[in-house]
Amino acid sequence: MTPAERALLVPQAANALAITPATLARELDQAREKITRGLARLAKIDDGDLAIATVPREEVWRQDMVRLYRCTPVVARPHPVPILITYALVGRFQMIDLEADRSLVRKLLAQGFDVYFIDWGLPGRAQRWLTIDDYVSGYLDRCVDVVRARSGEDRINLLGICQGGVFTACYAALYPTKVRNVAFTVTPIDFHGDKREPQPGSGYMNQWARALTPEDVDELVDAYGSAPGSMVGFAFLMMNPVSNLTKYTIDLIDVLDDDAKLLNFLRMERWIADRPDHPGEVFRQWFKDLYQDNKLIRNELVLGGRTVDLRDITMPVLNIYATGDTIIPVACSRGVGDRFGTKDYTEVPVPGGHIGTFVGGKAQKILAPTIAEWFKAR
Amino acid sequence: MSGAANGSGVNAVYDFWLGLLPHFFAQFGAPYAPIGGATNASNPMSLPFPADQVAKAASMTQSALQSLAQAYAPMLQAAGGPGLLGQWTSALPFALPMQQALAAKPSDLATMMAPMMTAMSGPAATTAFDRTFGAVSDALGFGPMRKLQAAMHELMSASLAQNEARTRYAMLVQGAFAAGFDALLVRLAGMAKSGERVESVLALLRLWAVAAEEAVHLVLQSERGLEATASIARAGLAYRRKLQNVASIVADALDMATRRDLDEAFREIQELKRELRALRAVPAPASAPSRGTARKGKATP
Repeated sequence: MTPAERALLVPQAANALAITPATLARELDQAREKITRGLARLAKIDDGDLAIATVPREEVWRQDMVRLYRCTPVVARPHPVPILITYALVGRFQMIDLEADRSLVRKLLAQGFDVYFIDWGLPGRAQRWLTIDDYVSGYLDRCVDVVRARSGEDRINLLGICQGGVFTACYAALYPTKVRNVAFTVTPIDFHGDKREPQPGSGYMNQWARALTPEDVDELVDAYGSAPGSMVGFAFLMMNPVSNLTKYTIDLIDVLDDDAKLLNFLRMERWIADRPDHPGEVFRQWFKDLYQDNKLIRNELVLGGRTVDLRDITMPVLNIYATGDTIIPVACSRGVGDRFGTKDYTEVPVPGGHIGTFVGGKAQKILAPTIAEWFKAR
Repeated sequence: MSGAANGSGVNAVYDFWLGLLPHFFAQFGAPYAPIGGATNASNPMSLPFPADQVAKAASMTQSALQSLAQAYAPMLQAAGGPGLLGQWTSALPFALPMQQALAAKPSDLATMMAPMMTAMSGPAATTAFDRTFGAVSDALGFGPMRKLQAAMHELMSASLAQNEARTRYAMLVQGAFAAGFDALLVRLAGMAKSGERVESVLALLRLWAVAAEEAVHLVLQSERGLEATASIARAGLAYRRKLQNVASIVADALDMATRRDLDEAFREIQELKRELRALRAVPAPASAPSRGTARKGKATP
């Protein structure tokens, strides 16, 4: 738009404005009062108020920075086949139990399941050489064996989330005899799916990765070793730069004026800020083999000398995707049933975005009950 | 378990966003001026993370709203809605604040070193350097000083290239913000036609945010936007490698372990761990232990 066109449009646009000095003064006074009350609320908050992931649990195995936890069952006789939850490396596991009333874990426990989850911990400099294979055939396999041994079940249920879903898919393909059922949530399987169905604001990471050359990725890993958590977090925030400005300003005003909203907001911020460093070699494989070359769905991904063939996933598969997911575009998760070796494939959309799947009001009503019913039926 | 987030990088991220807030409000014609003293009795520094950061953001927003009220009230009185939008129009372009914010990273060593580098880069300075340190330092085994000087020059060049990449990116964002404002005008004109009214300045800001975000997506996801993002990443990497080179020369000269030394050690450890894992991997049992033998305590497989 030229300056002349803009100048012509301004008076027309201004006709929509009914803001007067009096309404402005009243509105801004109200906003300032809300902020003042909010600051008083903030002053009373202590660290305990902001605790996240507080579900009672016991550490049952550890190696390096990785921990395996068993959540304390809430029924006398839990479902015999336990669930092992595998979260992503790019965020912390606390998302599955952010708050007591927004907790996937607690809902599964309430449904009578024996729930285990992996905390990948905070990889440091020494972990830069860890590969996807080290995670899948190393840590994840050990965790599965521990859960199998503790439960006495040959095959257990796996539930993978996002990047953890990809690890889970790789595991299920490489070790099918240890897996009874596998569920994926917001998991990319076709990393080029977004090319078929591009959507504004969606799939930034896919596009950024493809805008780089393989040599760029090598250079990045060589220069950084591990991708710093702050860098990964910043990349996520830059996917919605304007929203991140309004989040801390105009959208904050109403949040500050409500106890529950404020605590929710702060706990979510705490989770968002807690980005672990991402092991460099996993980053290299993730970007080159998956984002750039889409090897998973092509059955060309090689881990530790073994090819991951999705057709080896012969156990039942549940695939849950979020209809408003912009981090893992819907087209990367949806419609991949024919790629697996199983005949028992179920696909379920849930409303909301990538993280909203686990903490959003509507999604909460669907996610855990769907997973629970599906596992129970198998 | 729920403690504060890891590392100092977290605060850098908040510093970035909170650093943008004054510019965010300034672009709406309300120069940001912090309210004198505290906005309430609380001291953000004493609050747990991230309440401390949110308190800072809240205080800044409160100050900004005061500025908005002071700037807009007389304008609305005198010129009504057209005056307000005229003010926003004149606040375009938005490039400079974003550019400044992108360039003002505290970790930008090159910015801090620029005066020194300028002084060191002239021929007279080089001659003086050689005369002062050249032969003597070589004789004493301080040859790396020459390498260090060359590495510093490369670092400076990389810093300039990085700033250029940031500027190109910032100009793209500026274009997106301008397009977003135009989209807002179109939207408002449409609302006016259909008799809809905006009675709240905060609602107006939200309408702007929606329009601006859409425009930003359009630009940053275009071929040009993706190339600019890739360029900024490449320039950042090149700068980091040059910085590492400088550090490596210094570490070598002082006989300290370098990053490469440490990485090699970690690589060997990881390879040994893999070998250990392979040794442990025995053929999978035909079936898992029976339920009766399930361990109750902490497992130590």
